[in-house]
Parts: sequence; structure tokens; C-alpha cells
Amino acid sequence: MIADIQLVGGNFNLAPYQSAFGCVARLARLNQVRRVTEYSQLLGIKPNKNINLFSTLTASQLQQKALSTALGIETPSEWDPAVWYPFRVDDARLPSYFGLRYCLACIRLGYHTMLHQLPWISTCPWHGVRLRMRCPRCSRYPVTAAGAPTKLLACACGLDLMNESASALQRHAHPNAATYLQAYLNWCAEQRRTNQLIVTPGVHVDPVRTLSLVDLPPALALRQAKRVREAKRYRLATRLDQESPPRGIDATRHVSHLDLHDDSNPALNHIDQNAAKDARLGRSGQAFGHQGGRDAGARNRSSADGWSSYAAARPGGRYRVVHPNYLNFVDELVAKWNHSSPQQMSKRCNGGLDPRVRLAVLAQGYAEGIFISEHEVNLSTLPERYRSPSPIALLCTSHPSELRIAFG
Amino acid sequence: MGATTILQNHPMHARHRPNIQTLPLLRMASDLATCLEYGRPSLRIIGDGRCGKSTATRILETTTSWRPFPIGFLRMVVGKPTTPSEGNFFREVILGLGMRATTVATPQDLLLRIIRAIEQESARAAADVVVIAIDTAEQLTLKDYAHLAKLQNHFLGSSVQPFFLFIHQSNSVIGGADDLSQLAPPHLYGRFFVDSHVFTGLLWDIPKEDADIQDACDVALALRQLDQVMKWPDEGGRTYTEAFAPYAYSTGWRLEKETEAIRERVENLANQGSYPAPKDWLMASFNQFVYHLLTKIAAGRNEFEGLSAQNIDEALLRSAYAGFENSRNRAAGK
Repeated sequence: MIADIQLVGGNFNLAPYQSAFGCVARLARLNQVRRVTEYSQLLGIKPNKNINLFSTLTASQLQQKALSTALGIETPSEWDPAVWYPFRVDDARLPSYFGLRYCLACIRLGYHTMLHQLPWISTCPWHGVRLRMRCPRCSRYPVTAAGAPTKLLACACGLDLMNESASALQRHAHPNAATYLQAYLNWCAEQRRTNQLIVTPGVHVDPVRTLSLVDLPPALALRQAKRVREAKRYRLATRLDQESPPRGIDATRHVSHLDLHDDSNPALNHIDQNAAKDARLGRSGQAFGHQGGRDAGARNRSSADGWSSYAAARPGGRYRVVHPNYLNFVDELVAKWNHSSPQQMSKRCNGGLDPRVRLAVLAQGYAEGIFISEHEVNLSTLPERYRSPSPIALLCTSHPSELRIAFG
Repeated sequence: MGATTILQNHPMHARHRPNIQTLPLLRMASDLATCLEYGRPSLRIIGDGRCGKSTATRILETTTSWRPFPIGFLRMVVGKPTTPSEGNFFREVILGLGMRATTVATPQDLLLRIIRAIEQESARAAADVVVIAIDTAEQLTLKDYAHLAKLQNHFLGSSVQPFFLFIHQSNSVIGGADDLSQLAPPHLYGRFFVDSHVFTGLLWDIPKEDADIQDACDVALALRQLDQVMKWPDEGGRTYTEAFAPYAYSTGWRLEKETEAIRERVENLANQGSYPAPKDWLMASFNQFVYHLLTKIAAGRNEFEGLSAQNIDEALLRSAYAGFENSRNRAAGK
């Protein structure tokens, strides 16, 4: 490794599984790299002045390649955000934060890993401190741009998040860091074989929303922030290899808005029937609690007809339009499911999955109170959440197949 | 596998041959260890060109038995920038340490980078003291020493302390090197010029101060290393002398026993060259001399029984002994 001798901080054993940005930040600070020209001469990368170096290095394979070439190493696999996800995803940038998220204790030594960017990780696994995105003193964002007057990882208020001397004097990596990270990456690799993240096509997805879909295994479980714990309540988990929905349900209509003219629609009738059996806790209750009855205690119990935990109460005829984003999302979801397991599709569901999935999604969206809206004419007057909803789903094709959906 | 085939793989045939532990090296290690133990800030190693100062420093860098406590070790070669300035000096230091340098960094940034490199070495070696060996230190000017003092000042109050080991060639300039110690102001003299060690080649005579601990001269003891200590393979192997001269070795012949014969031929060469018989043997020549004796003259031949005067002359010729000595004497104005 060239960097080991030619650059201070080039011993990467002290920074296991560091991110590309973490690598650059540590090297830049310890070698006093400030100007854009110096980044080019010492680290091989050519960042634009005042452009967020974190997002550039996370997203650009070209920059990663330039960096690894300059350092005389193979591009580490951990620089690819996709290896940090326990699911496959079409756009690797989607599920992580775009801005730098850090652990105060780690960043003091100039250490940053992609693990800290993941929405479903809210505390540093080995230090136990809350992950932050802003300066602890002034709440501004720390500098992540090359060529800025302030050093990387410092704040304009004067607070320097990194202690260069402490970083240079670091003798060992944190004893638990490499172990945890290796175990986490192994788990992710295992999960990616069967799990796929599905997002609403053409709609911006807030990465924070993915946190409700991912459950860490007991061996990797952390003391998570309240926000993460509560997010788990806002998701639907349904088993896809159970029975088909009742006959007569037509949830496959392809229209720009799905008009629900009256209560005779079999899909909505079915939702009503299951509402009291498997109502979820959380937002659905807040939205419709005053109008529909529900049985909170039945959450984890299978309903009589084999459906599980998607239903909610219906507010009684006021909502009449399905947002096109939901229809697009359902189409995407069904397409991904067909693509990922065509054999299961034909064997187990015999064509019945399509309406099943559609119904499950529609039902949950209905429970959320956001996809069926009486504001048919002018969506632009609605708040963002209602104007452009973007549900996401985690499709698991292992046995039993499971679909987790987060609405928003 | 035949004896010849085995010898072809012998370390003496490698591009980088094993170093011989010599007394000049041990004397230098002893003085360095004493300086470190007493908390001195620097030591100047002064010696003729090609006598083995740099090699000795490299050996000390890779061995630990001589160290009074754990130390870090950085080694660099200083150049002479065309435009002397603080920035250019620190840039030379960075390049000398084998690190990458940029063209636009300020002197402050360069200085900080050197400080971080020293701290990093301290952490790597789990040591509080980092020896910074500066080769070709004869090129340093008083301003350069002032820059080094500035670097050292940054560590005041720090747990990490740099220790400067200057490798100074005494005959780098024909007629004698400029002695900066006479011109150095007290704050520089006290830091960098107080302690010095004269590094010699292998001495032909036993120094008076070592008479009670040394039973033979440096040359004989170096040859004894080949006879008794250096083995291949390291564990359970034959000594170098035994490997290359098996028959002679079995009859009791040893390289060390040829010391006086070799000295005689060396003095003969000095007489022919009309320069005084040298008091020591430069390592650059001695290593090649030994290489030629073992691999070309003895060479594993069973009929080899000992060295003739002709053999020694041939080895001296191949090792460029006369050339090195002529150069040294010319520099000293002899």
C-alpha cells in the first residue's frame, strides 16, 4: 500500500471498513490538505470547490477509483453503499443519508463508516452515542467540502470535530468496531439474497423512511433512538404466501386515479371486515380512531381468512380517490415480485398474488388515510405528504415470503 | 541436491547480503542508547564517506536489542533546495521521509504534516521517543537547524519527543567539512551539537579504552562473525566460512586467522599508493572483499585450503579497496 508510507494516516487497519469520505477526510486532515489542487496531487481526486465531498465520494465510482489508484489499493468493497444494505435496491443512494452523519467519538479520530449513514442505525454500535448530522455546538452542518476556508470536519463556528493529534497518535482501532462491522456486513450479504427494496417510481424518497423496514437481528441489536423504535409501528407486514383474497375483489385497475364511488366496492368491504381484527397501532389509529372501531390486541394474530395485519377502519364514504403514486407503486411492487420469484408466483399464488398485493397495499394506504382522498380535483393544495405520497416496500422472497410496506 | 546447488541459494549470493555485526556498529548503538537514556535531544554521527554510517543506522532501525526503551524510528535524507526557505526545507524533509509533497502547501501546513508523521510513528512503535535519522546532515545550514529547532519546540510539553540523529560525512568537502558547531548560537548548539560519535570503519588496532573487553581488532572480530556466528539456515545451519570452505574449515582453517596476512597486503597496497597505512577499513570495501573471498575464491571447492597472498590481493582489487582509500586520502589532503 503506497499510502502507508507516503501519507500520514495511511494505515487503514486503524480505520476498519471506513467510508471513502472517511478515508479522504482522515488523510486530508492529517496531511494538511486544504486546496483543491492538493486533493488532486496527494489523493488523486478532483473535487469541485465547495461541493459536498461526502456525497460525491459516496456516489461516484470514478472518484473512488481515482482515490484507490492514488493510494495504491484495490477499491474497497465497503466504499460501495450497496454492501451496507440488507436488501437489493435499484439506486444505491436511496436508502442512506445524503449528508454526513457521524459519531462524535469516532469522528474525533477522523473515523467515519457508511454504517453511520444508515437510517436504521441511530447510535454508534461500539461507542453507544447518538449519531449526529449537525454541529453539537451551533447545529450547523460541519464542513464536508473541499477547498472551503474551514477545514474538513470542522464547523464554521470554530468547533473542530476531529482532533488531528489524537488521530495521529491512535494506536489501535476500537476493539469492537471491526467485529461488529464484519458481522453486520455478513448479515447484509445474507439478507440481500432474498430482500429487495421497492420504491415508488419517479418520486423522491426520504431515506429516513427505510428505517421502519429494517429489523436488525438480535446479535446486532442496538440501543436505538426513540425515533427508530417508533418508526417500526408505521409499517405493514403481510405474508404473501397465504390464501388469495375473496372473489370479486378488483384492485388491479389501471387509471390515473382510482375512483371509489360507493361502499359496494368489494375491496373496501373486505377492508372493513378485517378492520377490527388486525388493526395496527400508531398512525392509522390517529387518523381514524374516532370513526372506525379496531382491536389493537389482535395485531399479531392471524385473521380467520388468512390475512394478517394490514387492515384498518374506514372513515365512512368521505374518501373517494386513490393517488396515482400508489397505483404506480403497486405496479412496481408486483413487477418486482414477478421478476424475483416467477416460480413461486405461478406455483403458490396461481395468479392470485397480483390482486392480493394490490389489496394489501391499498388497504394499508387506506388505513394511513393518505391515498384515498376526497381532494380529487386539486392535489397541489394539499400538504406534501398527501400531495406526493411515496410508499416504499421491502420484499422478502424467503420462506415465508413477506412484504413490509412503509407509507408516507 | 549437490553442494554447488545449495551454495547458489546462499544469502551471500543475494542482491542484498546479510549485514555483518561489527564493533563500530555496536559502539554507535551504545552511544545512541546512552543519549536516549539521558534524555539528550540529538546525536551527531560523524565519519568518513563509505565507512558504513548509513548502513549502521538502517541496522539500528531494524534491531531492538540495543534500545533502552521502545522508540520510533524515521529515516530521511535531506537535500539542498535551490532556494533556501522554511517551506522548501520542510518540503525536503517530507520528501526525505518518503512522503508525497504538494507544490502549494504553506510552511505551516508542511510543518504540521511532519509533526503528525512523528506522532503517528510514536503510536505505531508504542513509544514516546521518535528517532529521526537525518542522512547527509552535512548539507544542513544553520537556518535549517533553526527550522528543526522550531519543529522540536512544537513537542514541548507533549508526551512525544523527537530525537535527531544526524549522519554527518566528515570528508564531504575536500579539505574538510565546514564545522557549523563553531558558528551555532547557544540555542542551536545545545540542541544539535553537544553530543557526537565518531564512526569509523573496522579498526586494525584495539582502541585503548576497549583493551580490557576486546580480544581482537575489529577486522578480526568481523571475520569471526563469518566463522562462528553467521549461519545459513539460521537454525542449525553451517557457518558462512564452513559453507564456502568446507574442507579447509574441517582442518581448522578460519578467516579470522588470516587477519594479519590481510593486513600485510593492505599495508603493501598503501606503500604502493604512497599513502599512510589506514587505521580502519571502510565497510563498503570490506563487504565486497569478504564476498569475493567466500564466493569466488573458496567457492565451496574441496581443494581450497587457505588464502594465498595472491588471493588476498585479488579480493582487494575486486573490492576496489585502493580506490576507496585513494579517495579518502585525497579528501583529507594526504
